[in-house]
Amino acid sequence: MRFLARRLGFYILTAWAAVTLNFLIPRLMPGDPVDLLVARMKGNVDPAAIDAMKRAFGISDANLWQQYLGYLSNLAHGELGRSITFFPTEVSTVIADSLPWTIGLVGVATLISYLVGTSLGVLMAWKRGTWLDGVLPAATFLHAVPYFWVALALAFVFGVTLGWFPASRAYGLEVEPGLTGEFAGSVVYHAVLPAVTIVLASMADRILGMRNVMVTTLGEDYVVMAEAKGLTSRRVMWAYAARNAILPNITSFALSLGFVVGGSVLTEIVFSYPGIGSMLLKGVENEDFPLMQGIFLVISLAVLVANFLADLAYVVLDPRTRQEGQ
Amino acid sequence: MKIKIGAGILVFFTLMALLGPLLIGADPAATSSDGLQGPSAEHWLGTTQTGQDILVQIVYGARISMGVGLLSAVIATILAVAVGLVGGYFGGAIDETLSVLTNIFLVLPALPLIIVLAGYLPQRGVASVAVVIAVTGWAWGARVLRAQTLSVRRRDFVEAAKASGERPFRIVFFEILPVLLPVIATSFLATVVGAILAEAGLSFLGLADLSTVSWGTMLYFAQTGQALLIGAWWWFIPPGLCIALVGTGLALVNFGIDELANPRLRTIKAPRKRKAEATA
Amino acid sequence: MRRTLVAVTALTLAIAGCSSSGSTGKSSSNAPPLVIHAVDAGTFQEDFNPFHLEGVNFGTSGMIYETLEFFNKLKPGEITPWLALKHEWSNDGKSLTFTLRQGVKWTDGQPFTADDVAFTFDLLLKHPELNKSALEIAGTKVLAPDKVQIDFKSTSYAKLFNIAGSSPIVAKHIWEKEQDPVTFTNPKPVGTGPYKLSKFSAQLYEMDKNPNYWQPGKPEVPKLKFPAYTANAVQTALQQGELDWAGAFVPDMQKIYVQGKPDQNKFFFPPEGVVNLLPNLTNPILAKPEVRQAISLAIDRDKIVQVAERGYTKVAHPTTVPMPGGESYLPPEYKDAAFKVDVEKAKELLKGVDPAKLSFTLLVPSPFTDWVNVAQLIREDLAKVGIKIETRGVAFADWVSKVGKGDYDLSIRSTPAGPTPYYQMRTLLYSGLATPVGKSATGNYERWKDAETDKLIDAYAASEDLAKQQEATQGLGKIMVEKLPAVPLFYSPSWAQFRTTKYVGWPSEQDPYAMPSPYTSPDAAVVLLHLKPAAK
Repeated sequence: MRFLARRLGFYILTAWAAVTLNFLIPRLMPGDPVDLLVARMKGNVDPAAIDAMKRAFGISDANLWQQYLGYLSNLAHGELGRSITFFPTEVSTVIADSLPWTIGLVGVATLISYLVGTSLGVLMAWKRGTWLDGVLPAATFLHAVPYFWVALALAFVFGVTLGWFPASRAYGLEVEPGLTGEFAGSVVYHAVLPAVTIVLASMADRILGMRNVMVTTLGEDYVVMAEAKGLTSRRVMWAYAARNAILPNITSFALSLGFVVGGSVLTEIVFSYPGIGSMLLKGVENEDFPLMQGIFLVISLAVLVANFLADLAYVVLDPRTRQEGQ
Repeated sequence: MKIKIGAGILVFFTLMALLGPLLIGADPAATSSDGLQGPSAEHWLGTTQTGQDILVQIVYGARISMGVGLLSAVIATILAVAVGLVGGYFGGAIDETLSVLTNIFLVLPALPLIIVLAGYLPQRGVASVAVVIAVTGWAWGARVLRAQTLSVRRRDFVEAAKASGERPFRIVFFEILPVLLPVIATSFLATVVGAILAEAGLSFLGLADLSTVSWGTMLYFAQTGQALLIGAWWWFIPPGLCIALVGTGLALVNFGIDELANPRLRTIKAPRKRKAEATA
Repeated sequence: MRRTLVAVTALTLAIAGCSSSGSTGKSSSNAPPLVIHAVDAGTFQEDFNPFHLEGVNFGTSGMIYETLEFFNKLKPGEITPWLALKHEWSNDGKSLTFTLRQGVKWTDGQPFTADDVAFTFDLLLKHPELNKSALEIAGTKVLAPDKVQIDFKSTSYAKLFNIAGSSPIVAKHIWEKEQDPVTFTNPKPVGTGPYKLSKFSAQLYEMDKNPNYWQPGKPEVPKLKFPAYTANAVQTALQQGELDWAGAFVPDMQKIYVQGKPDQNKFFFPPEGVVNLLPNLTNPILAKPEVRQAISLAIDRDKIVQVAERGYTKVAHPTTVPMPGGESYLPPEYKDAAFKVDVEKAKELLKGVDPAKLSFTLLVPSPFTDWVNVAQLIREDLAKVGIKIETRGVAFADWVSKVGKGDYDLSIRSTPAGPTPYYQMRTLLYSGLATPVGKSATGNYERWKDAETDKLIDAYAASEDLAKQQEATQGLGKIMVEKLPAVPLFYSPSWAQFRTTKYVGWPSEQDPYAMPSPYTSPDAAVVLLHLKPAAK
């Protein structure tokens, strides 16, 4: 329990750092969203309207410390301000509308990639010298391929050329969103290509990571001992080696979530998926500080929560952590 | 074997980046009236919509893409070495503080942070993009190096140096650092891959300087030019493939270094690979 | 001096009349929906407040809310009565009286009256956040149920377009209940227009025809669908034929969109403003007219249009007046003027300038890939006359801020389009818009200061006489040619792709009755009112 308390303390500290960075970055950088808006409107905006718009957007000249306190208190009330791009929609509304799509897509794809990748890694370590070795160079290559390149290639081949799967949006135009089988089917159908992209591009790391830890674990005494005792190789592989090898894998998986989320930003953009990544890009393009901050905060917190869950899993799987701390 | 293939790939691309532009001499941005031509004797890799030669762009792009990768990996590695070694060696409050800092950067999602930072960059030159990538990409290396330093600092030669009254600074950077060189090298190479990917991602989103030619900006222009939709695969495949090949080459060299540095891995013929994702 | 709209009224009625005969209510209810892509969006927010700048969903102005008059930008000077039958200036251009169309109803059944118009302009007066056209409203007076007078603080002849042509009229009985019209998202809009919002979801909204619309028998398109497509996805959608009407930059029109069917997959890219090479006139070298002339002579605009703009637009007339359509605004002596490349003459002009100082950076916004290519071509052209250019692609935000503050040597920027060429020329040349370097400007980014120019601009704004306005504009065109305050390059094309498989009657070069782009309001609604089902 002390371990968990310690980790919880660390996460709270990190969350505070994320919030503060979030607050500081826009204020340290030059630029003015209202100027941009005026530029996109091609001028001709009343100077009085510009001042009024600045006030409406919540751009103030108060000193930094006061702004910081105001920001924290707004956050505590769950207020993220109004988006400038989608003015007057609240940032929290924009996020609430887009987050479920990202969680659904990235969550499911990551889970699949984790399970398949880890299993492949275990198998590859166990069956070295068979055809499975061929997966290794492929995985190395996939590990170094840009996400969006995979996304574009898949969209082109399976979406445009073959027409097997839709290459954009999250559900069909003809489908009414709701709790119907038709809607669910459409969502799944539309998620195929983006999900495959994320699985392909993120699986390589799981394969390589798991395989490497497994190879090391297989040399451990207790595995050799289990084998010597004449246990079936399947039992040795899964119950002895894999169970131990998976521990570091879980931590690195949780830490890599940030990377997966990052890659999925690009995937969402390629597939016009209405998730948080598309929104983040919109925010960046329009210097929409409130929207960027809000999304960044949500992503950071999501990764933090995932890490905390990984720690919990660690405690369940590895009794040692309960006494030792980290 | 792996290290040979990997090194071969890297040598090829490095030579291309260093010597290619000198041999070709053409302007990678120069347009011509031969728009959207497939590979031919005149244009080995075809042309873009505005008649730019793709091979010339690939060759010049290698400089920028690999340059950004190297530069940001150098910066990130310096940061990682400083934070990891100092924290690991001194321990105590210094270590606690640096660990928290490292972990914060480890947990914050890097690419979104890079996008946000790049969105604010007043000048999107090659150098500033490299710095942004480095700032968000040093933490994994620092964490690994700290762990290694912890184990090294109890070794005899460090104790001996301490006993002989050497200054801590000297011990860290002249006694411990050389021992950790293989670890630093693998972390460095992994960071290069991450940085190249990050640069490509940023360019693809149109957040880098699009008037310089890099593999990432080539992909951006191929994408906005709808290269795949109009069947111009020669415009789109080469830059992505180059990125992937350089990344593969770096990863293979990394395996090799690991095997050399860790005899146990070598005897069981199993490459251990460090996770490069944290650096991206 | 009073300008009535009788002639144009007859014209509209003729247009309105000719199509209503062919269709009955029955046939149009069987007609297929029209699928429209106006602006790139991943998802939509539920915002139908017509005064919002960007968050508002397309179609709110024009299809749901209407303006008092319609200004055809493709035929400068052509004004069609809409919710107002006519207008009349008085009090030296400080008062404007509209006579309103009778029998118009809001879609909730309430009648449209002068109270609604007065309320709308009072709303703009009370909430400067909504007054994006900078109208200097002093107050409003309802003179009769169909007559309303709007008073202004200053002479506002030149603002007629902003008052009558781009201010959507909202219903008083609905909007007066809103506490905060600035943040009001108006999820259930009630308008006078040809369409009503019928369905909204994050990826798709739909509009159904207003059965009680004031133009009898119109519209003939019963349903509009607006799916969300990003800039990338819209290309695939066009290729696959999912869209009937789009306003997208398509890199390769023939391969992606036309696909060998030019009669079915049509497009029309009329000019909408002018793209100029802006010289920063606070730079002592660029302030020399001979340097600007040399730059202009060295640039091969035909090549730029063919290579960077893929032949989708035309080289600008040296006066920047949009052609065809703007003939009456051309100074007679420069009627047939055209840009010609003359490298020798350019070199000649530059003889007196220290070659070492002929080195500039050319700032372009990275996301505008065609401009990045334009900059590249200009660099190649200017190198031939000994001018060294370093092109620098920067973020959109950075470009806006630097050009706005005058912190650049050369840049590329388009002027906004208005109902007459005067609007773009004023934005480009009026000294009142030129702020000191370091302070953000909203126009005249090159910082041109010239008494003669200002006199002409003021003369236009002080008159409601079309002939006098045209004369002033001709004078401005002359200044563009002779003094070259900015270097015109090509017309900024307005993008419009439309398929004739479901509906016909789209605008064309022969019949430019409105801007054809689906993203131009209220023109898009005018286009919809002209559409007829295609013959089977």
